[in-house]
Amino acid sequence: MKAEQRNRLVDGGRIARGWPLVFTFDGVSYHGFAGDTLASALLANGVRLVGRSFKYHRRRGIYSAGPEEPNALVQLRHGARTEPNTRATMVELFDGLEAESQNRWPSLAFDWRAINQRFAALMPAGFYYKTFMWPPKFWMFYEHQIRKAAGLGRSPQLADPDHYAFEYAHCDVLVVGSGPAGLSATLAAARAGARVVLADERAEFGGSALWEMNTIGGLPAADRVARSLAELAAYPNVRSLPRSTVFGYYDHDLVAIAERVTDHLADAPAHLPRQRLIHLRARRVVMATGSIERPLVFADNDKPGVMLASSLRTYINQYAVLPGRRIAIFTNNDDAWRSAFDARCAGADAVSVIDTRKRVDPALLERARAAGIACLEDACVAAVQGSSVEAVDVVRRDGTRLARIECDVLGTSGGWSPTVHLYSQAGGKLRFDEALTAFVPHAVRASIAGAGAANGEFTLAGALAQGRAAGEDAARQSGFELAAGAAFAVPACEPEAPPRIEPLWQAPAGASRGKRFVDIQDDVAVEDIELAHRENFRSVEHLKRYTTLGMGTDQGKTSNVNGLAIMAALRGESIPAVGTTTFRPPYTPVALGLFAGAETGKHQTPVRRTSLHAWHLQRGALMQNVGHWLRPKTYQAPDESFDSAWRRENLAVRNAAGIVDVGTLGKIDIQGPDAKAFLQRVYCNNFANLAIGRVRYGLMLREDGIVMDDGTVARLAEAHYVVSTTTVNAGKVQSQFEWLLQVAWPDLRSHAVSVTEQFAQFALAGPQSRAVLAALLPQSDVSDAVLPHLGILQTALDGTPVTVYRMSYSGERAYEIAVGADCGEALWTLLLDCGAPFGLTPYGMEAMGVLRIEKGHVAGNELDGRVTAADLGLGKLVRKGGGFIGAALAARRGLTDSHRAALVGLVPVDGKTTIRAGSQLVASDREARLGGVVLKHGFVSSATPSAFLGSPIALGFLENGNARHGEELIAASPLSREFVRVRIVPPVFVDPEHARMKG
Amino acid sequence: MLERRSALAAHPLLQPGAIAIPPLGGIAAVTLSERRPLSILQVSAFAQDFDEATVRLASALGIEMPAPNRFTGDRAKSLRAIGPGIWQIVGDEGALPEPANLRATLSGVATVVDLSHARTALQVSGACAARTLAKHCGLDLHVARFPTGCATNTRFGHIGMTLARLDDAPTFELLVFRGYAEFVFDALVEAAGEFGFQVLV
Repeated sequence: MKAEQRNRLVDGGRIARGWPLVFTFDGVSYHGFAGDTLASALLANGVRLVGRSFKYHRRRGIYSAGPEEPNALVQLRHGARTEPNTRATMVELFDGLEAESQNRWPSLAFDWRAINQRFAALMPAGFYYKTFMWPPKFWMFYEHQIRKAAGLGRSPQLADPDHYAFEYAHCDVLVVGSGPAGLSATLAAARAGARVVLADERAEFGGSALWEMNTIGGLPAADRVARSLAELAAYPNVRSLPRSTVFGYYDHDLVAIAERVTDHLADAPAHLPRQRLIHLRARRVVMATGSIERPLVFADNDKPGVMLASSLRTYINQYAVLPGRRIAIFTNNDDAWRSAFDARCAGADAVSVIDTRKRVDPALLERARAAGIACLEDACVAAVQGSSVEAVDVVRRDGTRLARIECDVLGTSGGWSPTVHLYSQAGGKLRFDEALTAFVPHAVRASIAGAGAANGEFTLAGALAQGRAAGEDAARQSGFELAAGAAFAVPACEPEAPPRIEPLWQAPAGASRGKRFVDIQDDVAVEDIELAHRENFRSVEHLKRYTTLGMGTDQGKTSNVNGLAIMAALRGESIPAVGTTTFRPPYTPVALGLFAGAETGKHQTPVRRTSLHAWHLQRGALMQNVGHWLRPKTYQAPDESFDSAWRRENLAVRNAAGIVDVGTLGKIDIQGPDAKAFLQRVYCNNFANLAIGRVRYGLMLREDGIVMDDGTVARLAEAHYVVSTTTVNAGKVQSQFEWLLQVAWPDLRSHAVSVTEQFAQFALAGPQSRAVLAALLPQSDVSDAVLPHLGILQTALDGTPVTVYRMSYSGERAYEIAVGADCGEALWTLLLDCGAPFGLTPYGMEAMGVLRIEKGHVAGNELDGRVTAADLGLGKLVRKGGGFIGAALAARRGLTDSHRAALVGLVPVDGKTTIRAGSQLVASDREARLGGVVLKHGFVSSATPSAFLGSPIALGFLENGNARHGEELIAASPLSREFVRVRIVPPVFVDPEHARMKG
Repeated sequence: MLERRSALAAHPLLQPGAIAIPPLGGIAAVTLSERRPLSILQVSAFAQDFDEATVRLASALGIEMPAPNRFTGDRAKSLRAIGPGIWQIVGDEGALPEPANLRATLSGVATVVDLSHARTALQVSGACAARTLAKHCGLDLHVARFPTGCATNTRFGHIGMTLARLDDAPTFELLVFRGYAEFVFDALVEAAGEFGFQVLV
């Protein structure tokens, strides 16, 4: 246990000193405070080495204090909740936090792969691809080894125990970033009455005001922030989202936000989601996302102790951590001098500033010298001494030695890059501002406007004013005008000079052999860019892919601009001419669980249940998915095998009576004076003469003449029909009907309304079915004279309307009984009681499938989007006169060729070998067995053993099949090594005369 | 009459007495319930006869015609304009006209289909009702955009629903396909979990 926090300042900072926390890093316990990040707590405890680099395994320390962190990536938590590659700078400290360093073995201090850096000269950009090319097959092996060596953290191996949420959200104005500009925009828009969402990726609102030592309206900036937040809390029209990263801006102004709801808690309450994905639609977006400091590129600029100059003062001011006693700052601009002043104020023993510029503002120099800060102009860091920073060698820009400065922290600043990711993702174009040496938004895009540093406005007063203007403007564009007198004045700030910077994209190589890193996360150095240039990978997009510059988890937040500026110099062109790579979402890494959201387990896919679902489950049915529907496959008794269950059900239908739930079939109510005309157009068979109270089989073609779906049409009244479709095509047919009526034939007075869910429907089938029906409906005459095959009976049972359609799918005498879905279970159980004396047996999908194959009825296996009515043997049904969808194209030569594959029946010649569905029909099994090229005559579409016939049967399609009954072929399934000699027969195996179903 | 049984009749959270305990110290920011029994008639006017259909329908029901995506009437009998020339009459069993009678009244100008069994009506109310629904519905449910009196066809996740805002509690009523009722109810339970909810039986 190391209790001391030797780098912690005695006072100041925004940490809660009364709330101490204990955490471990690589197994060692440390103390920190609430309000710390993992990074600030590690620095407070003097931990300098936190990770190893990606390629060379170099020692790395904490480099920044924000989302741009390239180095301090740690493995957080353990077990199922472990998370790799978290940025220590963004991890809020909590009690009991466990973190481990990554990409090192056996330990962080001694990592044997650090040997890589000795061979760095042999491992240039593209090394792996150039070296491990031969033999090509070995890449799989090489890749495995390379991945082991070059890596980040470990993915969790256990199922994610957390849950995630998704939410749609809407607002008038979204403000991204809660710094001075963002808060100013939020206040302005909120006062105008607009609905505002304020999102910030950090835990605490305030942005740079939390760590810059300036004042707003005479108050310390942080206090002013607190006042603004108190005002915002009173607005019901403002929704605040801390810990929420706006990570993507997509088409049609869809904005994606990752809200980390419980990541900062040691133990999250079970009812809260870990994270929430918010799809937000805002009328206007104000991008007040601030900016990210760029480092300077110099030898050994990656050693622990080197950090961004601004992060140094962030640690001092926000977290009360002075990361070292002797501080040096290496800069090309005025801004970094603030860090020197703040370090001095915080009590650093020695502070020096190494400025690359020949002439620094004399007033600044004077102030610095007065504060006891050593100042070197026209100077560069030539080398960094020590494995972590111990001293820096400083030279003049012409290379002459100037000094060696002892220091333990080196802050570096090469200027600032506005955080323009969202603007760029929104399609906004960037402009290179020479004075700022930065890419800034070129112009206001319709839906998104920048404010503050993100927009290139680096003074505090300017940021406040821009924020207010952007907020007011966004509110106005959303229809909210600020009432007269409600406008707020931008508070006064100390006078600030505009930022002064003199670009220096790389320090001279000098005598040091140290690598000058550009992309610290990906170990891309200046020489890699030079190599890419020599090898002609000169476009920034090629540069990125070839060297991996900007391809890490940080996506080059600190490196991209430096890299492209170096490439621009090599090409002899301007920076804007070279351009930037594309900014793509996500802005920072996002957990995959976020995208799964709550759609896991039973919530993954919608489930649709029939009105008899509870009964099916109670009866022990084995349920099967049919699209979203759940349908019983069999009702297996506890002592029964699956096979004997469906055989029992199958035989019950053939020998006595069975009942099956067909509530899933599509049912469409068609009404209107033109209903008949409509049906004539959508079905290829004739409905002109369908009498009231009669049902008819209906066949529907697609426009191209291929069969789309089949079903039945029942005429209930003069202008009232009910159509049934197959289960799978119900939605497709309904959409087609609605489209035709609304778009193609709006003149027809007819409507098609889905009544699939209105009716429970079950098919009562078997020789005893009429007797069962008579028992159910004692008041109704169900004799064949009154209710013949394809007749309809509209009656009532106990006052509840019941419709009986006499039609058959099984080939037996059968009745489909429809009743309001809520009454389905009552009628079903009543029917079962009535049918008990007759052996009435509920049957499932498996038995139903066997029954229809025995009868040669086609189903989805046959209606596969390739067959014509004639292929199915239904050519005679098709109206000769046309006038229906598909008529024209059904007459195409290819669709009327008499040699087309036609539906046939198949039986094994030996009478017992099972035929496999999907088998190909071939003339001989010799070539098929050898795997040679075989002429296919057709294929098997459906196959089953038949309990009723006592032998296997199958349906299939065979070229010129109608003329080939009696022929023998081989049903070949080479994958399963099954070759069955089959005989071609007519595709009806049971009762070809249909005597059973007609009664 | 045969007994009407809701699609949710067997759901463990909807058994008499089995009221879910909210997880947040007794605060139920969301209340879930099913409205049953329910009657729904869908009236679809022919485009050519829209005006005549509205006149006949309004007089048959004694309710003012609603504007598009709005409803009129009361809990016992409301008229919801959910599509161009499409209305749903939603109300208590027995409060609605007989389908055959209404069909006769509207003969030649509109069709009438009974959907009383085809939908399950779920009510979501309370302070966090809109946020609960926002997990599955992309509509802006803010009171300024979807005030009481709105009724519209929209989506619940991957499936369709008809959504109405009945009062300022606020109470939202979801009419979903009966077959999806259990899936939707379970999704609402999951969605409301973080706010704390109760189920009224």
